[in-house]
Amino acid sequence: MIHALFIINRSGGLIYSKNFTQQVAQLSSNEALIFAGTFHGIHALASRISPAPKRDSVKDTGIQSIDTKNFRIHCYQTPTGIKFIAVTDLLQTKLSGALNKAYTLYCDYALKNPFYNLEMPIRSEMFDTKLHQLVQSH
Amino acid sequence: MVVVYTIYIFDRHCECIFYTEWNRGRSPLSAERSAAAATVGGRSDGSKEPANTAHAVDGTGTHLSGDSQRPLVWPTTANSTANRVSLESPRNIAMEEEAKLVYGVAFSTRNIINKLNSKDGPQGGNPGGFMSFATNTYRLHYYESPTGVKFILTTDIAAVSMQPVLEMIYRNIYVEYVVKNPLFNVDPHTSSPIENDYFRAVLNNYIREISSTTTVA
Amino acid sequence: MASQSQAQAQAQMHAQSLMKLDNKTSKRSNMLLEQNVSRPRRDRVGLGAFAFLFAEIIRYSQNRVLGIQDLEAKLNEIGQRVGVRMFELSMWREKTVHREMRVLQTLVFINTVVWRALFDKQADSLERSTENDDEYMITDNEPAVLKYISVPKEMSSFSPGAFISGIVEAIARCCQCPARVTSHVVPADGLPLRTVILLKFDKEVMDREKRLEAGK
Repeated sequence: MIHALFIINRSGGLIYSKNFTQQVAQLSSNEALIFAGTFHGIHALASRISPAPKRDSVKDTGIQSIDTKNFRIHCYQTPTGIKFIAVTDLLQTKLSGALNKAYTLYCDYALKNPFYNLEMPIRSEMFDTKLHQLVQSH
Repeated sequence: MVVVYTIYIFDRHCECIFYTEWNRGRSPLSAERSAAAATVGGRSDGSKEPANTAHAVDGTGTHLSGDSQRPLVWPTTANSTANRVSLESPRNIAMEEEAKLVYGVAFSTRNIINKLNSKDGPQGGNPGGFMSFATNTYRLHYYESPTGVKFILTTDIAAVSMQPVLEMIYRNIYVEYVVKNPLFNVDPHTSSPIENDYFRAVLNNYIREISSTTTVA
Repeated sequence: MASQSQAQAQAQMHAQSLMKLDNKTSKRSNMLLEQNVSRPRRDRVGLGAFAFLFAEIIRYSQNRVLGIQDLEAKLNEIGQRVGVRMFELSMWREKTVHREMRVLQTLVFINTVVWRALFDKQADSLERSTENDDEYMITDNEPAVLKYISVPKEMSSFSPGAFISGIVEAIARCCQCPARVTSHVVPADGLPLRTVILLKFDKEVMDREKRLEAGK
């Protein structure tokens, strides 16, 4: 069950946020922006404070999931630096598949839409619809 | 089998009062620092530095801090280059900065989770129940006592839930050996590092124990 | 003739050496670039590539117009340029000896031949308006060119299908049946992009139709 989904652009700006259930608080637009900025920051810092022994082949990618008492947060960062963040129930252990599909939808219905401006909030009906279908099927 | 890397304890004043490490590689921050220090200092006899065998905080090393008000929390013998940095300054600045980063990351994460959990709920404490986050190389576990003391433990990613362990450390090790120690500074307005060999020894034993058992309760 | 066969042999050798270098790329270039223009069935363009191009066409036009009607007119004009060429190509590929001039034949030609060449399928329906005799409607439930487009709310009257209507308009004109062609988005259940292309034939076309009917 996916409670909410956020998309953060490569400079830490919030470009999409949507709640699908009542399980997590509905953030105001300002609070959501703060959430995005904070997450962007801790994501970057988390990779700098890795205590694990360094291996040349493995680079720390930043936060992939956060466990809390009531929900779990999953983060998928694309190679281009866009972050897809989903808040789910505790039963979802791995969500990279669904987030990858959300990335596909972003490529199709945001980037290929002539009315979408890069790095700006996504306001696309088709994207909304397809994303809703994706969340429902999950 | 749990691989434990580090543990940090922060008091209510956001000060790191205890740090220790196991199995950890060189921190990227201290590596940056020491590289910078090496070029500034221009010394090349790093291998001939006296090899301190104990962590500075174990008592033998505190003389280094001299006039510093706070004794050291940080180990000075991680490796020879880090050692050089610590000899130049009484405190290990790189480690101290890293602790600040760790605190900042954990604190911010706790805050956004509180916000997501309930918008108008109390902002202090950990009502959102932040437990841990994972990257692809490590997992950071967070436990906050009702009194506001924060325990941060980093492990390998496979160790999913360390909440019982952290609670155990708080209840049976921190309270027993630190708080009940009559020499511990309990002044609520200042923070004082834990310089308690007994606490360190018990904690070491406990971590070794959970590291060797195959499952974590 | 001799020089031609020589050139052919050279091309073949070239293709072979390519094949040695990289089997995959030479195969692909075979598919796309070395294809005969008269075999229309298999040459397809990636929808993604087209979507990006079409999005840029709309953006480009949008920066150079004053309003939504203007924008539709611009897209219509671009579509017409495509349509004229499309018509020529379709006629040549169909190898028909005559050109349709009657209204119904023209419409069927557009509905089947043109649509199949453009979108690899027939249009979903072809209807005559119940109100006006000179109005016909071609409906496409999911126009491929619009697949990724979401029109923002403040522009809700804009129909990006104006590009298609331009193509249709040019073809109708080439068939000697000039018409005013517009496109309208008429969403249906589960088909948010269902587009109706409305053709309103000129008066002289309808007059001619009547004369032809009477002459039969």
